Amino acid sequence: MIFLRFFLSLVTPCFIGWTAVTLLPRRSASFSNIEKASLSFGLGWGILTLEMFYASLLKLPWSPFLLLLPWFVPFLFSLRKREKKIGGIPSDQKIPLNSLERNLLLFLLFLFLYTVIEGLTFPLTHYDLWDAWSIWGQKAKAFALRRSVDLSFFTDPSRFYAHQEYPLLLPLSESWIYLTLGKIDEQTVKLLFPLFTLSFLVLFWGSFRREKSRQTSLLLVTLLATLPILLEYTLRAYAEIPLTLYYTLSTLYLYFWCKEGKGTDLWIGVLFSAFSAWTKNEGGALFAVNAVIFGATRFLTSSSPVRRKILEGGILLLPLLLLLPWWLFLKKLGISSSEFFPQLKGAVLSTNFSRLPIVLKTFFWKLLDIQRWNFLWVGFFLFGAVSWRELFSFPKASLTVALLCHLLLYLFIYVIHPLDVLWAMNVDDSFNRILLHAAPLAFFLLGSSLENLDTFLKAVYTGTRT
Amino acid sequence: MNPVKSFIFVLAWSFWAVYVMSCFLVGSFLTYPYFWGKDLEEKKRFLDGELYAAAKVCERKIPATEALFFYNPIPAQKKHVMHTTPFFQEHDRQKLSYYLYPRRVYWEKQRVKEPIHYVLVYHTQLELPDFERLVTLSDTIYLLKKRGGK
Repeated sequence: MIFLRFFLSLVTPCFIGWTAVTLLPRRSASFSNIEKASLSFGLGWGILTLEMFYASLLKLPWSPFLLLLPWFVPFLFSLRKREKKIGGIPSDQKIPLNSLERNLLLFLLFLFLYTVIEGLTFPLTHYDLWDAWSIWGQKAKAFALRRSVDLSFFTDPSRFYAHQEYPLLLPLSESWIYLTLGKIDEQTVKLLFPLFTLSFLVLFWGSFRREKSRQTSLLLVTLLATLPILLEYTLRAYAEIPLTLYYTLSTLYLYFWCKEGKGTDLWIGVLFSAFSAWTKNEGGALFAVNAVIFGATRFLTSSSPVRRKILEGGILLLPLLLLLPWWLFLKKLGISSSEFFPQLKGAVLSTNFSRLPIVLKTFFWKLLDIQRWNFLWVGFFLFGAVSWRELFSFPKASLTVALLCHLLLYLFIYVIHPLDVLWAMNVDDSFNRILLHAAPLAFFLLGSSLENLDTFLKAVYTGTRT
Repeated sequence: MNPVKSFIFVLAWSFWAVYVMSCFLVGSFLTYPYFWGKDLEEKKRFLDGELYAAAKVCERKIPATEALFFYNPIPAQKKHVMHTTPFFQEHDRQKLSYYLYPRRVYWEKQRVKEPIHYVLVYHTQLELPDFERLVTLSDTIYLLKKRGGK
């Protein structure tokens, strides 16, 4: 019964997300049904939680009817809208799966079931899952019990440990599940995370599909799915997996927008950027980096009229508009939106500059940890050293630069960190955690440069049959 | 990347993934056999032990509008956030705040902004003359209530 209620809690976000997907520009790439479902899941949670926050500001109740109300008319409109398939789904979409693909899918299913079962072993309150209950879970419980984003929660000194300035996508998603379940169930709510990982892998597969064959894409996604740290954080109920989904996919869709110029990619990239900033504060900084890099790339390389470029630039800044109420809300309460803003001073930078060797050394050793990262970072940096021309050729250069800026940003955060740097980099696996956000992009750059995998797979496949 | 290097990369990744995944599976399914088939309440009780029992007692004894104060005469021994003793470390205080929501839980005197009528104390020799013992949670953990308080 409890699982049925859990799946009922997914209906509202998925409905909203599905409607939003069908409203995307028509003359663009179309998606397979499984990609649509994953997009609906990701967009739905982002839109629903923003709506919940806006409703709280307006002192409106969180009823499904009210939250769905703005989507009824778009839904009716979307039913009438026919999808135009222009260069979208590749031609091998309808070819039956070969045995290798079936085996890979079975393996992925096994991984998914493993994360579900293992995730349900421990409740969110396990003492190793510190952030899961003390930051995200505390807010989720408080908001679900109050049925609103409770103002007193942000001003009460007895709750200051819960990082009031952290954004609310994850706590509000968990609150929504609690409200549908009818109780605070710290175990069932963990089912959300394997679903986020699944959606991420499906959309990541869809991104590989634009550059590789179906079976190669599936093989690469299966390899990524075995990344130990990805599995670990799927089980930990932290905000890392939602942020990895939103940030990685926003970057990839913006990259495809620069490369192919399709409006759908821009819209999804922009919405996912907004939701990455709505998931964690790092997401806001990463959005700023992406907006500059991909905005400049598009402006310099596109042959579109200037008016269209200005319009696209305006769309690119949409996340600022969506998150403005949240930032104003924090400002009104006198809460700094990041603990790092007060650190951005010349004096701090000059004093802390001596930390750089420690930060770089720790960074280096973390990347070499193959127990957590397999050969991802080793392979990426070796590949980068040998084939840097390929990584910095257009259009891949924008993605490479975005990834490097991302890594530099995180290194910078540790240079200005208000606490002891070694403690900050190691406490609760902090540095590995934030590297996870960037890891799929490194994997994408690495994976998309692998050549002739189809020939290799065909040889393996025929070899196993004979 | 040329086909040979691509092949080697995929092969190396796959072998290592099989090894790490096996460790994951064996580790996770064998480490905590207790948890299989237990309900949420039992798991919380097992994981947080005394702390969870204290939370349940406080939940019954303290009205939802009242705040609770941890009195900690023993300073924390370690800098790390994870606890080293059953009570009074950061973990336990925050966990109790989590379980007792919406009751406010203070642990630093300077942060207390309201009259305190309930104190949770972990020290056998401690005397707080204004308070009387409401409940003995274990040998050393008491829930105190202010004399003449609500």
